[in-house]
Amino acid sequence: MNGPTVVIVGGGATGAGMARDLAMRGIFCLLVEQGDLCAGASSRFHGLLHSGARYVVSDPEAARECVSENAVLRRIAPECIEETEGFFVRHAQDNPAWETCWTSACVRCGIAAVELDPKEAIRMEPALTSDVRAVYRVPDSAVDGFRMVCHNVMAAKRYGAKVQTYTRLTGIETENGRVSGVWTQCRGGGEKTFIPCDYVVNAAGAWAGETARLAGLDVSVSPDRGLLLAFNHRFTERVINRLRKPSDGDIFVPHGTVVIYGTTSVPVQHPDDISVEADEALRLLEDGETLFPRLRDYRILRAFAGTRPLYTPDAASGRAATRNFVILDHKEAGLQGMITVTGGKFTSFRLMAEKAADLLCSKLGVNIPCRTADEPLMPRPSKSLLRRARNVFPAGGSGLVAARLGEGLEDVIVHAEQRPWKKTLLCECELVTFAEFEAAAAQSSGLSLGDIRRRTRMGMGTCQGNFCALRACAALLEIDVPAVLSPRLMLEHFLEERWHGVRPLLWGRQLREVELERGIYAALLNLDEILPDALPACIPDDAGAVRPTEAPGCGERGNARYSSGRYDVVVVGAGLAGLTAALRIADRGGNVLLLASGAGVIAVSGGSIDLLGAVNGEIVSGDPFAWFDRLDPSHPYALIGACEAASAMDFIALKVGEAGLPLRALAKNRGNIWLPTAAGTLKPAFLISPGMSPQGLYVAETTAVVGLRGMKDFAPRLVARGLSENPLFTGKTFLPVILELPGRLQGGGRDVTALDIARFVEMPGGLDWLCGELSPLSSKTQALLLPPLLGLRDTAFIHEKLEKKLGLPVVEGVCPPPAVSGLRLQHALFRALGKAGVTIFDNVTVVRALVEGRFCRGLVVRQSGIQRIFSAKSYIIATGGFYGNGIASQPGQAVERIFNIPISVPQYPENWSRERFFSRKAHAFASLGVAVNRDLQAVDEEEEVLLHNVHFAGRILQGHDFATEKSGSGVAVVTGYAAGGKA
Amino acid sequence: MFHHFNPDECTACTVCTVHCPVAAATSRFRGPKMTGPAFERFRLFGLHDDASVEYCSNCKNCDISCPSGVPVSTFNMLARAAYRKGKKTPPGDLLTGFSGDIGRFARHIPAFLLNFGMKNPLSRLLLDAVGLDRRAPLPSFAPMSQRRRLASPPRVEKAGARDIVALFPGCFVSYYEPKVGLDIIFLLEKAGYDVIVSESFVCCGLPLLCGGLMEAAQRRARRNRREVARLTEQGIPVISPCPSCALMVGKEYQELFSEDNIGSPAGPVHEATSFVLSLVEEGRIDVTTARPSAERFAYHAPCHLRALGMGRPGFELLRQIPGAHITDVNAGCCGLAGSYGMKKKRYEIGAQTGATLFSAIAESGTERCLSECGACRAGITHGTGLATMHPLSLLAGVLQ
Repeated sequence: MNGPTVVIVGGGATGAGMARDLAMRGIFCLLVEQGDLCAGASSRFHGLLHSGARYVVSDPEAARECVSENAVLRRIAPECIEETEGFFVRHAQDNPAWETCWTSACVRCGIAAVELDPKEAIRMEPALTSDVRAVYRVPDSAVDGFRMVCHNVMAAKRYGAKVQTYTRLTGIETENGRVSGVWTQCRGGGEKTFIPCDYVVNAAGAWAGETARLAGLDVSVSPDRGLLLAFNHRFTERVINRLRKPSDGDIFVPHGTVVIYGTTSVPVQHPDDISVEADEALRLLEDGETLFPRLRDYRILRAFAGTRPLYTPDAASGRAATRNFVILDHKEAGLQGMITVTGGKFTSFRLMAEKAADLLCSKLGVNIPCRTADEPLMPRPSKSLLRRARNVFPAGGSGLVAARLGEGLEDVIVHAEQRPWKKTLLCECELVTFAEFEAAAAQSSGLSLGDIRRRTRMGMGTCQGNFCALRACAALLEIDVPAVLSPRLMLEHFLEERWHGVRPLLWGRQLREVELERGIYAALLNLDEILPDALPACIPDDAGAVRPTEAPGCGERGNARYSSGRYDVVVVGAGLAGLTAALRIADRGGNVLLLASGAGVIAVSGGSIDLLGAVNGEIVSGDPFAWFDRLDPSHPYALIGACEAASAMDFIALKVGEAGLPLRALAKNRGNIWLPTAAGTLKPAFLISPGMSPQGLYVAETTAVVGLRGMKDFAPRLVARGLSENPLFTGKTFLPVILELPGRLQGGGRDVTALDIARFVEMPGGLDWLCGELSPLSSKTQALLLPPLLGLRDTAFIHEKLEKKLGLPVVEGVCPPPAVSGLRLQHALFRALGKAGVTIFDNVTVVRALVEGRFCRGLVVRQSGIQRIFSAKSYIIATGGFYGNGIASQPGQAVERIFNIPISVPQYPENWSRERFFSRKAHAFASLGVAVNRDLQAVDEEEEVLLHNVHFAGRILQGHDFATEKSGSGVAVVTGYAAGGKA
Repeated sequence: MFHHFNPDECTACTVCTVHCPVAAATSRFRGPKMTGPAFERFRLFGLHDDASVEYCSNCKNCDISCPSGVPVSTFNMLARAAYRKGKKTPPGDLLTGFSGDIGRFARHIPAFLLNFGMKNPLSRLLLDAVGLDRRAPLPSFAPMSQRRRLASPPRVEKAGARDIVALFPGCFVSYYEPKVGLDIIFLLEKAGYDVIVSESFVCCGLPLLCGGLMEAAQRRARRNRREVARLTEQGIPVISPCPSCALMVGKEYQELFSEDNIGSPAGPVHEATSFVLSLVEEGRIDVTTARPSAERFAYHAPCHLRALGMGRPGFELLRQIPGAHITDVNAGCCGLAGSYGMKKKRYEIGAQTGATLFSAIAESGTERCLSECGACRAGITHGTGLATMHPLSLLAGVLQ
């Protein structure tokens, strides 16, 4: 086989455009890219298809190119472009003289800038500030950079071009002053390969300087970093440019579901430097508030940076450097056969490619003219195909997905039509079905979920991968993508990459999402892999229920020191801490009012009580209470002590057990129980309900891991692989099995969850169905591992009956939300509270407190202008941390919400967290909270009690980290119990 | 152009879907998270094409359970209106949507005629054909004299300057249970108030909203809001015996409609039991003098009362009646959700939802169930056969 005529270096817009152009003219070319397609600035920019108006004053030539290229790209690639139009908005602060200069320059460059009445503009874009002095309409658009590059590559391949991603250029071979070939190497090392060729096109963007150096050439490209912020929702329908001398933070681009805002201009040493500084992001936000006064009310999904390739032969830099592109023929520098295309901007990539290809063609003696401006990039999908798409993709999203997929549309439709369960949404925030994901995965390198993310937008929406990342790993296993990395590692890399984008923005809503992420991946699924040395020898069984501890001094019980007044105690918060506290007070004869704001996250938790799994990264072995000594003295457990903590565990087991959900711990030596999870990991827990007991799994030689078709949060192959790779299960076999859904649950529209199945199992005939489906397995295996689906209320009964019928142990694994185990615990707790006579008001949000001196006299609730005050003798505040909204946070600040107790935080934003998301040592923000004394009263720095009749419980307390310690529900129960004993 | 607001508080945690009674009953509903805040991001992007939002009953258990304070149901109602745009409104929705106007129109027609007209077997077949399930409980019109008396309560001349309150009776009380309104007037007058019932108030618009009739709802919002603002400016509190009306007028107008479209500033609307509870707390009504009651009652907190975020005032109030034994059943939605469970195709969903509540009420061993919401009371009677009552009617009874 002959080698390529031309090797193109760089898989960004320019390189992809070159590949298409050359291939269309019949020239055999190979594109090599060091990462994934579009991994550089072509996907790390605003996504703005410039009308040219931004450059009219400083760079009229670039502006004119934008005018014509804007029209060309709209024509050939409408599926990559959203015709949003754009506004240039002059704020009252901005210099009016610039406006005059800008409007006349627009005329000179032929840009149709139409002046608009500012009032009309604000009506069209209501989020804009009212301090607008002038508005012009221009033909700006949003462009999907990744899709544009991807579609260019698809088109190039259609014409015979070859593409190698994750391939680094390591050398350029020359012979007699002529290029003879290039040396390449796959990522991850391996043999270097020589590829003979006649020409090399250096289209490496910000890496162009480095590439040129391989041939001993000097190309002055200065990498210039720009920071961008992606917002969760589309608060503007149009591109909004600030009408002033180009500066930082001028442009907002609505893009699909999000808005991208930026940017900055910071010269950097190396093009790989895409680090994001918190200060830079804050400055950007401050700038942006001028045009969008409520900008800080919008959730930021992430911050990201890209490095522009600025061509700077004359040492100009930053905003002074030209945005024009250059084509350098290195013949002048004494090397034949190599050209460099650099500078420029995304909007003019096709033109750059055309000019560079013209030059090459003249050298090659090829006389075919460029056709890239005439031929559509992608063939249009037919009407009948789009009609079929509507049945496959959710809610109005078929057009969206069709545009995303380009040529791949039909394959995905056929795939989903043949396997209806693939219509299930893998990513619910950005509407990515399993069918689409699998199609993208088949084309990916198998190196990174990021490749698939860019092709599908999976993990780029509201939850930033909290829910879809695990499903993505499972899906990869399902379709046998030859994964270079294990699914677990891919998941970890993916989450670390997401973490990188949110780490500089750890406050408010971003921080809440991160807490949810830590809840799911660290606390629930134990992906940071805190593992025991050996599985505990003793497994909870009939005898294992914790008995009430009667040790002396271990707290008083049942003594009614309360009067008969309205309420003795008001408990705020319906999480585990608040519910335990309320139960304890009622148990002691107190009259309790429980105020709940939201249902608490117990409903989506794992349903076990996790006491303590690790201390400072060290795994707790044996009796967790014995480890309390090693905790920091400010840790809630250290304040309360092992004795009372043990009583708390007994208490909750007793109360919840009485309400129909038996909770058990290990009978002797009180160690942790290691539960199998949906990620194929084991997680430590202290109290569990019967169906969770993993005993059967520990002893069986062969275990069937059973999932249900289309139930996306428990993938048997992922679980089986994880468990079989676990050294603790060496020699054991895990057999993945998929059951078909019961007819009633098929094809409903909503994706089926474990909760749906649990409800079904409790319906008449449901259990028989389950038995029938599972019984063929009883001859092949010694144990069954299921997602939690054994009913909501009568789980203990169903579990026992099922085990008896099948004659083998049945284990329920731990599943991410919406899981069933947590809901069972919540229901049982509410039953217990009802029995104890606790008054519960749900959906009541306390906004502030009435304080007299050092006593609280009432809690104020306000809704729609109406106020109520709830008073009692004492108060328990169990409103949660950042996620529960007990603690409010702003950049560099945190405060308790009801009493406005300031919370001391690390001085610099970067000290709030660690570099890595999965860090065995706690992130600083994780243990921020209210400082308390042994009575759980808030104290100031001098240990003075702030409020004598207020006690705090649960995550709101400082000094513990639920995620790395695996202690969330334990701290809630222990401190709730203790607070209930003190109030 | 529809009014949009910010879906950013949602973290996609799924708590709302877990607590959604409709999602529990049918997998045809994608669930409140998806149809609400998740799809809102796509609606802002111009995609309004999700039929599953038709299943939302607007019971607001999503709002109540959300740990992030997202008004999920409002997103859903706006989404439904957007989805319905350019489509024909089903006749059943028109009928329930405009039931307030029907009641107003029929105010001079005797009840027996109205009820016969509505409930004879032939009419039920007809209603069934337009989309109201034959099995569903339809409310009965109250005697004309009562309806008229509530519409313009007789002014009792009393000495001295007295405080004034304005009653927003709401359609259900106005046309089907004016007795509740009259009981409340009795209690308020006992506390030293003069009660006015403004003629300017119209249906709050909630049934219209649920039927996707956004513009009609907006017209009513404009009118009610103007009147609430006028009264509030004069220092006259507005109270409603219907939690849904109080919620709609007092809270949801500003979520649903843009300020430009409904004009007047938001004024507070008090739910009647919480208002009376505050009068009891202030000592303006003395509950301890009530005739002791030995009866056992079940109390059901209507979803929309819970959505008001003011606790369970009815329950707190009734507990103070000497001797009364009240059980808070706390078992979720009655399933009727206004008129949702009356609709064909929704009846089964409603019945399945209500089953938990009905069995909990039956288990409580009481003979009467108290609840602030008229539709809940109808649903409970339909589901359990028990008599029902507004808590304030009970209070008025023991204080008479």
